[in-house]
Amino acid sequence: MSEGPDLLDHATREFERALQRRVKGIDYLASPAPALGASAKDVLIARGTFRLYHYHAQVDDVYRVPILLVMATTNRGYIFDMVPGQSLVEFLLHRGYDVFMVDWDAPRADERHLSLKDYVLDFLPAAVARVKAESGEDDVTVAGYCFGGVLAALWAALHEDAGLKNLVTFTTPVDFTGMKQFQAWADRRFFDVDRLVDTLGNCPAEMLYTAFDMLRPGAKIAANLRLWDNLWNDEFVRGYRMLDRWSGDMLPLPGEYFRETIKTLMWDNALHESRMTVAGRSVDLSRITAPFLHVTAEHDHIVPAAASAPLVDMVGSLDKTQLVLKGGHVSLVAGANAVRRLWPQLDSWLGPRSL
Amino acid sequence: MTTPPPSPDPFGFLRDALGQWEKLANEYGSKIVASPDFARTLHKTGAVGLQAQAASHEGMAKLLSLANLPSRTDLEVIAERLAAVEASLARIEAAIVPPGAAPTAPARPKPARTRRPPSP
Repeated sequence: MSEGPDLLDHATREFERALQRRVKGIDYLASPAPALGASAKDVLIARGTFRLYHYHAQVDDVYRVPILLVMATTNRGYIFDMVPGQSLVEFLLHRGYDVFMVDWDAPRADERHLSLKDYVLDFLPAAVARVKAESGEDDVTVAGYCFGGVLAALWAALHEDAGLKNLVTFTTPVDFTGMKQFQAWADRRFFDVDRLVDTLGNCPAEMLYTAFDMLRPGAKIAANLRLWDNLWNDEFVRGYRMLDRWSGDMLPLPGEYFRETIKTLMWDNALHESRMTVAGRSVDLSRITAPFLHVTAEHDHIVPAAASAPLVDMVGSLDKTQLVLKGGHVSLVAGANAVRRLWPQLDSWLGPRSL
Repeated sequence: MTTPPPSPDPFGFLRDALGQWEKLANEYGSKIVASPDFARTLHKTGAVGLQAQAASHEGMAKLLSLANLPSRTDLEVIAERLAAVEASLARIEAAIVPPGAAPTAPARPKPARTRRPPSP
């Protein structure tokens, strides 16, 4: 008999939620997606696929050393700047950092010839030079997310005198054999990357989206069911819409860059095995001596620990820290968990090193 | 006096079941996706699509040529030349306008760069 009132409470709560689902479900379908990446900024460089932003300072006194965020080339940079209250950029601005970001637009058909050389020896040096000119400082902190971290590490290893004050990488792979499912997808026995690039020019975003989606085949269906279940919950719906929009908003990759990434990194694992070259220049990660923070996620299904963890030992810095935080590949940097976990730790590590 | 155990929440049970299903679907699905057979089939299908697309491009290029219209490749060549002109303009602009004085970046007061982390 003691179960009666509890069950009644559960049933009442579910009935109320069902009613709200109907009302809010209509709102969901009728309302536009939230505006993302809206923090005030200047576009300093817009050259083909390459963008450099400078966010407007929110305080009168900032740290001496500016920070340059480097976005992964497969996705849009607004993962760092979702909505007020859930924006890493806004958080850093309020904590007194001068924030810049390298972002990417979809490469044009004529940019299919871009390769790693263009990203590492042209785009990133141009971005760093502009950050220095804008800030009037010779030192820069560079923070890369996922493959943005790979680009940042390659740049840092090849530009020892470029004024790198700190290097930060989020969920950045270095041992590509550790990305088991991507390895299976890009199996050299079956995947004819040359034919793909020679036929299509650039690698289509849909193909990349499918490759990411296949890593968790049940996730999409479960996410949709959870959305329906939580339609009554405004906060859940808001978070879902932000992340869903971002994860579906993938970018094509320039053909040569994609070909080189698959062959050099996925197939040959050249970066991990210290055989990597960019435009004939040998990449040695031990040449990176600036303070180094490497942040990985405990439940990262895209870049598992096996792929990201070896980076710490490979970098030559004496001041280096590895943080393993709860969360996944995306929730590490964005969303409610990131606000509580990563952001304060990033600020604690970076503040004393930004003087 | 002992507190009676809470009654089961059937809706909570369904939510847990969804979590379990997702976990199993991901585990099982990942195994299938990671198998060589899957990769072989996936890329074989993709290769057929690419072959069809290449043949279609070729056929379309011939038709456009017959109709005396520019092909996709011709447009890409024009786009490349436009990009080269844009790049030259950007270089000229960068040479004659100092950073921070570009018309797209209106002057804003620059913050001081003397911030220190709060004392622990």
